Order: sequence, then C-alpha cells, then structure tokens
Amino acid sequence: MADRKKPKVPGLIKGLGVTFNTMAQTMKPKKFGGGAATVQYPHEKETPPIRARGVIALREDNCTSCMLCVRSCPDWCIYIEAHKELAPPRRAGGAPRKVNKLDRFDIDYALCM
Amino acid sequence: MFAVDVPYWAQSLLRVLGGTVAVLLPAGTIVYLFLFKMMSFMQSRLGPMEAGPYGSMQLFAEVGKWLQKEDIAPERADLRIFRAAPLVVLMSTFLLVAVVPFGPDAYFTQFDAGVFYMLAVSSISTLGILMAGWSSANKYSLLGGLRAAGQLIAYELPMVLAVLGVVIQAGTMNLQQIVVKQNSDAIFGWDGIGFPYILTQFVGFLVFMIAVQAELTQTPFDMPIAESELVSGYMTEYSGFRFLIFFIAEFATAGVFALIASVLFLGGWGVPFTWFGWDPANLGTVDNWMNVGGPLIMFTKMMVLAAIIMWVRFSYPRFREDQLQRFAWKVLIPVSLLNIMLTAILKVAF
Repeated sequence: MADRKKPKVPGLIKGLGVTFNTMAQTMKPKKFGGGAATVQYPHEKETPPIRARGVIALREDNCTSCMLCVRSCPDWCIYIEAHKELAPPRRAGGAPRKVNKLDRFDIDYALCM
Repeated sequence: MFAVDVPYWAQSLLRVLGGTVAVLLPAGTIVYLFLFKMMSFMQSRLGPMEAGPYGSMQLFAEVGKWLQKEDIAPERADLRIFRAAPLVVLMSTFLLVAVVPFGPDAYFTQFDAGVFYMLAVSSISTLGILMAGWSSANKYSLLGGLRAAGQLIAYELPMVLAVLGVVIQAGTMNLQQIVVKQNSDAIFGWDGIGFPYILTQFVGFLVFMIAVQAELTQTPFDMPIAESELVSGYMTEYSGFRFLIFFIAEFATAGVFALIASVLFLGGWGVPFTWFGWDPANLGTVDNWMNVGGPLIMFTKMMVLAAIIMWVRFSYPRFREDQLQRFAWKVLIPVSLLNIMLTAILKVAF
C-alpha cells in the first residue's frame, strides 16, 4: 500500500487538456488544418492509397496456393484447397515439376469486410 | 409584483409553462451542444450531421424514435412501482427548479428555507432510482440501484456541507437573498463587481461541483450505470418513453444543478447593483428589464458550468466502487467541514 502511487492532480488537469485540444483541433476550419477524423462517406469520397486494389481477384493460372492471402485475411474468410500435381518439365530431359493445383477458392462474403 | 394584474389561473399557467421551459430547455441544449457535439469533437468526430443543419434536429428524431417504441416491462416486475419510478426522478427535477430565482420577479416560488428545500428535494431522485432498481426484478438493476443509493447518499453530505459555507457567509437560506447579497456586497469597500461567493468559497465551489457530478452519476462517478459491468444499472429494463424520461431527468437535473451552483457561487441572475443604483434592500427598485436579462445571464452561467460538468465527464475514466466511497467520506467531507469552520471563523472575525 505504501509504495502505491497516489493519483496526481497534474495528470487530471493534463487529461482535461487533451480532450480540450482535440475539441479545438476538430472545431478549427478545414483550411487551417483542422477538422475531424471523420469522412462523411456518402457525401464525400475517400481517396484510397495509391497501392490499394480493393476486391481480391483470382487468376487461377497464377495462383500457387501459397495461402498468403488466407493468412493475412483478418476475418479468415478465404478458403483454399489444393493438391500437388506433376507438371511436365520446362526443358527437355528435366525432371517433372511439382506444382500446386487449386481445387477450391472461396470467399465467405458473409464474413468478409 | 406583476405590473399588470394577472389572474390566478393565468399565473399558474405561466408558472407551469415557465417550469417546463426551465427544465426542458437546459436539458435539450446540454444534450445537443455538449453530449452530441462537444463530446464528438473531443473524440475528433463530427457527431450527428444528417438531421437538419449540423444535426440540430437530432433531438426531435431521438424523441420521436423513443416515443414510437413499445412499452415493455419485465414479467415479474412490480408494475406500478416500475412505472412510477422515472416520474419520481423527473419530479425531483421539477421540484428543484421551482426554487431557483431567475430575476427580481421571475421566480416560481421563494421562501426563507430555499437552500434547505433544495437539498431535501434533490434527494427524492435517489428514491426514484431505488424504486427503479428494485421493481425491475433484475439483478443488474438491483445492483445498480443499490450502488446508486450508496453513492447518492454519500455525496449528498459534501454537497450539503459545501452549501453551508455559502449560507453562513450570506446569513440567509433564501436563494433570492443570496443572489442579492452577492451583487450588493463589497469586497473590502470596493463594490465594482459585487461579491460573488466563488471568491471566498472556492473550496466550497469545488466540493459542490464534484458532489454534483456524483449526484448526476456523470462519468467519473457513474458506477451505478457502469455499462461494462451492469448493462445499464437501474435503467436496464426501461425502454421507450420511460427511458426517455430517465434521460431527460438526468440532463435536466444537470442543468438545474448548474443553475443552483450559479445562484450560490456566481451571483445568479444579478449584475452588481451599484452599476444601476438599485437598492439591495428593496427588490422593487431593480429595473424591470432584469426579468428578461436575468434569465439570460443565468442561462449563460448555466451553460458554462454544464460545459465543465460534461467536459469532466468526457475526460475521466470511472472510479471503482471503493475509491468512490473513500473519496466522498475521507476527502470531500473533511474538506468541506474544514471549509465550514474557516468560513465561520472568518465570518465572526470580519
């Protein structure tokens, strides 16, 4: 009990300052760098980052079933099933290649954000 | 008092109308300006924007929504008490505003035990909350109601004791006289701004505002409706217009307590009487325009105080139950007792 820190009054004042500054920042006109973090979506469109691509598109020939998209999906709503196949060698006389053949690629749109 | 002779029925009608305005107008303004807008701005968002320009019609939308909702009561609830509880809470607000003076003639009623009446009536809302918690037949409601009872009773004491300082200094419990005193007294012979009691009773003012925050169960003291533990405390089972009544009562009481704080500490409706040469002993000498200007001045002071209440509400996290009780009994009450002693000694000395 003895070494427990007592609540400090300066901390309380500082907290009030934080909320007040945020309010002042939000109420400042847009042209002076103020405004809320909100984007009023149907009225104004958000400009997406330049590399943003939006919806996932599947190009079956390019897909190696590497599961990267499955693992990075925050909702775990992408399902991939695949099996290995032997493909003909690239050069004559080479060994046949092992490739992943995609069986199923599903996005559960009920879960998808 | 009235310049024209208004018949009794018209006076009563005016009083009812005035009372409704005095309760609903601050409540509406506080909810829209502070709860909707200021709170959003403090969180870097915009708040309601769709209903009317800048969402100014949002309140009507909300009230309309609540009025349409079905009136539900739990099967095992004690129906009569369940239905009466919100009204009891709201009634305490209306009874409170009755004693607040808004101008030299603009008051609902005025008597010498005003402060006493105000403190007594403000605790009726505790009863309403206990009724709501008990009759809901819900363990969350019951816990919330019990917590509310413990908290409101604990914080009533520092509030009473903080007000006592003002009463000692003014030498009267009549709220109108307290206003007059503050606007006609002189600070060591200088009467330029009157003598608002916040100057000498600053500790009392602080204790009063903290106690008000707790009485309103606003956030640092919102243990009774702690939504992360108790769903919504004593309000859990209420929906539709019964919830609306609780909601209005909460913010109307915030407005009324801000009005009372401005009467007790900030000089109320008055401007310093020496500016216009009014006689403090005779309220009839106060110009008639003060009956319009006074309420406006009161409203401004109320808005400032309500803004502080809401600002604190939006900034601080919630107290734990034991911290909350300890703060009342071990800090606020001793401080306000000391304040009373000091005030009494200084009152005798000067």
